[in-house]
Amino acid sequence: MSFARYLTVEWKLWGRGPLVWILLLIFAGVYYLVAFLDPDDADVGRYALQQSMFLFPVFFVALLLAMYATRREAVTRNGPLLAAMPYRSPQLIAAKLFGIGIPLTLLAWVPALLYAAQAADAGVPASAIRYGVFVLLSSAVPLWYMIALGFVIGSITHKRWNYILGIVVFLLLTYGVNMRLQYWAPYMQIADFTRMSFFYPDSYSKVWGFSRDPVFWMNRAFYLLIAAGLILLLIALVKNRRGEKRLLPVWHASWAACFASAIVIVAFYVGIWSDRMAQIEQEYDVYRSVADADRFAVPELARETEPKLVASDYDLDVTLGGGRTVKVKAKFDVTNVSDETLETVPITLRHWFAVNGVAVDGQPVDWHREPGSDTLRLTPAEPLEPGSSVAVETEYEGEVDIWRREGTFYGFDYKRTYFADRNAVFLPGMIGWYPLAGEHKLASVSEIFYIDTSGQKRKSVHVLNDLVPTVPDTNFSVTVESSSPMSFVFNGRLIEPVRSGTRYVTAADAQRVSGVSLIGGELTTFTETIGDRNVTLIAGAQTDRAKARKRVQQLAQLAERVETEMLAVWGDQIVHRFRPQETFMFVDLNLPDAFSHAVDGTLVTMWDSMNGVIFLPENIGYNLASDAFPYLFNRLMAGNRADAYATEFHELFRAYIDRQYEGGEGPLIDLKRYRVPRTFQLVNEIYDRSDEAQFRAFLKDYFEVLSGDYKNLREREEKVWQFLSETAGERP
Amino acid sequence: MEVRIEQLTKSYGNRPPALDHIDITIPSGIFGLLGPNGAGKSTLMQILATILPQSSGNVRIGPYTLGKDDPAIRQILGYLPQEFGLYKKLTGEEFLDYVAIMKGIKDAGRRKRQIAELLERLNMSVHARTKIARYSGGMKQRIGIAQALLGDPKLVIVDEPTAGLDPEERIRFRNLLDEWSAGRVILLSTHIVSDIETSCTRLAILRKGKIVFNGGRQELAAKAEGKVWTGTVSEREADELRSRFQVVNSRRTAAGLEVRVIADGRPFPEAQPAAAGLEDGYILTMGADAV
Repeated sequence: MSFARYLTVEWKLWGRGPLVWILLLIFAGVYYLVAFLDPDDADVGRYALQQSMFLFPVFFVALLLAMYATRREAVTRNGPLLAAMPYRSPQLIAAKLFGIGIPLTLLAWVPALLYAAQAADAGVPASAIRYGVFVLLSSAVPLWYMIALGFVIGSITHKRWNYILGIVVFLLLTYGVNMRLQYWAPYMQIADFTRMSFFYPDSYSKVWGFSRDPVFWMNRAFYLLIAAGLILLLIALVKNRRGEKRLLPVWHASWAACFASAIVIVAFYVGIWSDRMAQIEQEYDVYRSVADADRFAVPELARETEPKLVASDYDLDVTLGGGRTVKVKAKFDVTNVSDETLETVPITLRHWFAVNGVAVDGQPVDWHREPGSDTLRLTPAEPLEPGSSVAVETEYEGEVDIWRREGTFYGFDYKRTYFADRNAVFLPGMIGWYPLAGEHKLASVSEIFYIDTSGQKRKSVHVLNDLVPTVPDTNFSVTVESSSPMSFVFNGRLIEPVRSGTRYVTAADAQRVSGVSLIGGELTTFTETIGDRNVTLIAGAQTDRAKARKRVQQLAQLAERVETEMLAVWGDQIVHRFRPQETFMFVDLNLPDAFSHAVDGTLVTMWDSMNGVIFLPENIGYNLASDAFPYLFNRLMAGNRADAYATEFHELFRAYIDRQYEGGEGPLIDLKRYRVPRTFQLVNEIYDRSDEAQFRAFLKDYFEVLSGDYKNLREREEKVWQFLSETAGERP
Repeated sequence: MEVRIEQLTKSYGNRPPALDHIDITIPSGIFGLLGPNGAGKSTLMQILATILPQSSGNVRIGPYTLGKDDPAIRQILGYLPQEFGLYKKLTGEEFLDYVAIMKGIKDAGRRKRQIAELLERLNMSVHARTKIARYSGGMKQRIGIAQALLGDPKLVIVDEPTAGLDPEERIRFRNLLDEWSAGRVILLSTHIVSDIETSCTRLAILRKGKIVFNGGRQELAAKAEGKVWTGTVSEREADELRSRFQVVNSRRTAAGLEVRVIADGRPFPEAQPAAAGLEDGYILTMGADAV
């Protein structure tokens, strides 16, 4: 009862006067800035984290209020008066803590409550909402850490300069940590108590939702224990000073246990990060021999299209162990499509997997793999004659928890890329999780440069880039056994598992596809049918259903229009048309370049890659038409001599398609939107003076001019200008 | 109930001790503690109020030992420090309710009754629901007194309690203390001799951390018996008297300055012997430190 009365007095002391209103106004202002200006609300989870940014000033205020609460008796000069009272220190300190903590915690939970409402409205599954709310509610932990820290700093001295110390500590723990520590000791991200998404992308993924990574919860547990330990220590000191000895042994044991547990967590945390860093470095060692140049090298891509061996008719039996272990039994046929007899058969399989055995045509065979290599060399009993086939069976297993260094505008981050968890699996075909016939390079190392936070030094780091082998279409039969119910996406379909005892089994077939990705977890799919074509979008559980549906509709409509209009312009030149079933997935990881040029300058697309899914960068979507258009255009243009990066032409063609389907009057291209309208002005003139057939012919010629061989950009610009001027002149 | 202080010393580093081997026994009733500023009165009071730890010595407060049974001592203690602040955002009634809870008065009805009674006795009922921020200095002092008396404390330590009170309130406070003193120890620290004169039966005088007098009111007054003289002198004569004797007070009249002087023999020819009072005894005891 006393505690409740103390708490009431605390709230009277805080609540009477303008302070509370001023703070609420400030928080509301910051909330408005972060939540309503440029809202990223197509993904409700991400939007909730965006809203959570308003907690930054809340944390700061919590520190200052806690500092004031500890020195309030000095400020009001009633310290001597209260010190002689027979109150119990823990109650009074707890009242001060909760007096600040309860209202600020409620404030910190606003994003969680709004998220729950928004997510329910957006159709997010209940299980995803529950976990999201849980993650967002945990924002109270850094808040309480700040309050505890404020109490400790406030207790150091009752002088006013103490606030300067508090401000310095806050800046060090936030900006200091985020700006410097990630370069000095990147695995010590636990040093950031806020753990807010914008600083650490691994806290949230638009595809996989809120992080289930143990380090996130270790961070929260660490700060909760530190906060509790500091409070208990403070209480123990005050009790000791006041001679309240009754509970001292318990208090001492409690705060000591808190700090000891926190140290154990840090040790585990560092251990996990060290392992991940070691794995990253080990990957670099494996692929360092694959020069960066290879990634873009034309011969490499050209060679991928001319394999000596082709694998077909896969039967993949996958067991997910519940941890991170992936165990696969693979059966497939290998055909020698070259004109050479092969003594050994090279098979590509990611080096993460340990091979338990290989059989060819039912007989175990000798095989060899260099340590860290992605290539297995099988020696069949009989050499493989040109045109002949063998049935290969192999069993392999490995833990998949792959982290990558990833370049960002301010340097680099560490991001989880491929994984097999209890609740989610992401094994794209391109990573070589199932065997490929022949020898393929799966990744290369490149160096990225950035300017460090001081803005002075140019620094560089090495990053790993996946390559995408292009392999012929074939059939797949995949069975996945998992310990938890997980939906998998195969060939554009979301397949629910069937319970089998304590396990869950998902089975699917895919006919004549270039590859298959194992994508499972809290995902959802949206399919739009236009004509005889299905366009499917794989989206994260946090996606706003209505917005995702609109997105896939736009994507399908855009694909249909682009193909129709490109066929009208280029006719038979368009050889790589869209398939009856196209599945897209927006992913937030570094994607391999989608296009490159072969030796003869023709555009090579990775669209028909072994993923079975077309990965697009997740930032496409706000302006789907303009962002996705180049991908669709270049996919259809593949096999032609073409400029993959003809931005201006993409703009023109998109505007043309818009005019064809959406109508409109006036200039084809709105010149006010572009910085260099000189060429567009001529294009508009040509459009005005042309009939439909003439303009389509112009488009074809224009693209040919753009895609020509030029010594430099200047020459290209001159040729383009000359072409446009002449064409405009011909059509007075 | 009595407070027994034995060899109590409080030192701060290498400085002379603030309290130097104090020995006093304080019986039930109002006990006065006199002494000039810096004599160690407030230090002694803070030690007895469990706020400051003593450097050495023993203090027994009833059955409790200071330093060992501090929580128990706080249960029977009412303390009014010399300087204190109050939560200005609370009303007087709210503040007293807060204090009452701290003092362990859990029954809301009892709290309410005690607070109402004290406010009435201190003439603060009208202002009970006014925020402390609007109180005058005297009103704050009365709330301070009320909080000290809340909870029926067996030991009341009041440090300069009448500072800021007008004469009427001062009398009201003295009467209140008189009523409260039965069966309780009330330690009243002041430099206003008249506060002691009307209230205390026993008193001690502190000078530079040492007890220089410990006894009854009459004993202190008796020390000056036969040494107190009054008379009227000129300004020039008054200056001369001040340089030679202890002048207790002087008052300007039409005939000159009426002075009260402590001296072994007649200090000036017109001087008349006067009855010795507590103030005279105090001045005589303190000597040059009295002022």
